[in-house]
Amino acid sequence: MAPDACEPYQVPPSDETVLSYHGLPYDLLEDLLQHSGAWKQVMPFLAPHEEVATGRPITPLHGGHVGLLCTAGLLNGVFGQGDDRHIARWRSVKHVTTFVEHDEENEIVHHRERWANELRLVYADGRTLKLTETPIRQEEDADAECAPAARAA
Amino acid sequence: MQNAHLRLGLLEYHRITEKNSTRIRVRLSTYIGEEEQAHLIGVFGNDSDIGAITAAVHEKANFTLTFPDGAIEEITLGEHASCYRRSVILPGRKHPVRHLLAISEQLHSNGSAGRTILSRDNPNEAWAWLAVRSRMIQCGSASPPTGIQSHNSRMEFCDMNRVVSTFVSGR
Repeated sequence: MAPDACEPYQVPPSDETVLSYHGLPYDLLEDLLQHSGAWKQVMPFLAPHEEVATGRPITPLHGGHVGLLCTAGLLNGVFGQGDDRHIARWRSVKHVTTFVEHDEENEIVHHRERWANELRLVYADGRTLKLTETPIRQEEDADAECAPAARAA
Repeated sequence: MQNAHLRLGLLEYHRITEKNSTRIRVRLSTYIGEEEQAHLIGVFGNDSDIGAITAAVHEKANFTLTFPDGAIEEITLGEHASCYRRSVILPGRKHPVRHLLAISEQLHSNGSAGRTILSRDNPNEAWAWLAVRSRMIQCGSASPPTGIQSHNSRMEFCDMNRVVSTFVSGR
């Protein structure tokens, strides 16, 4: 050994060191967050589930009953066979007719609202169809159309 | 699952006033958005941090979002955002962790305002939306466009994309 060399130092043994993490346990949290109550409130916006009416009526439905159920959207679903297989969906549409009445120097604008029902069909081959109570008007004289307040909200 | 920190993002809110500068960082577990418009953010943290983020959401503040891959984006939830807060109790801990889910106005009216936001870019989910909205589930005919086994439960749509796009844009 050289005269200016240092003797090797023997590091004394120590107890085992325990590394501890005091932060949030992300692995556990990731699993728990999936069952958070907040998700139960938000989930309807991501995967809505509409209320559906099921069951058998006590008495046979006559035409008026069927009409009411259709316009209420309770008979939406899949119907038909083969090429006529289609999805049917009813909805309510508000039509607003605007007309102006001139009264001497004044100009009065009237908005007349009317609700109508329409049926949209999507066929198995990709065709779509919209059925309304009146023939589809030309664009220039078409009334303004907007979704019902419950849907637009 | 393990290594959750590799899947978590980071949401940062920085507010500078005349006297103070506040910087709040919380972990982000869920995010849905398109460019700067966020539709859903899910964050967790302590009570004060989550309270501050909630207030910032209602103030239409901008946030800095760091994705798990390191990408950074400025986001905002816009006007009329909604916040849902709940507590998550961790075993062995005195204080619960606060969980916040904030959603945009568009997501709040999802599927009813002429537009449907899907949580995943998945045709099965698009099919599920279509099935629910048209109440095919009621008829027992809701099946995804792929993996269809039974002919009885099969919707014979030859062009699923066309149908979905019609459904989404046709409302």
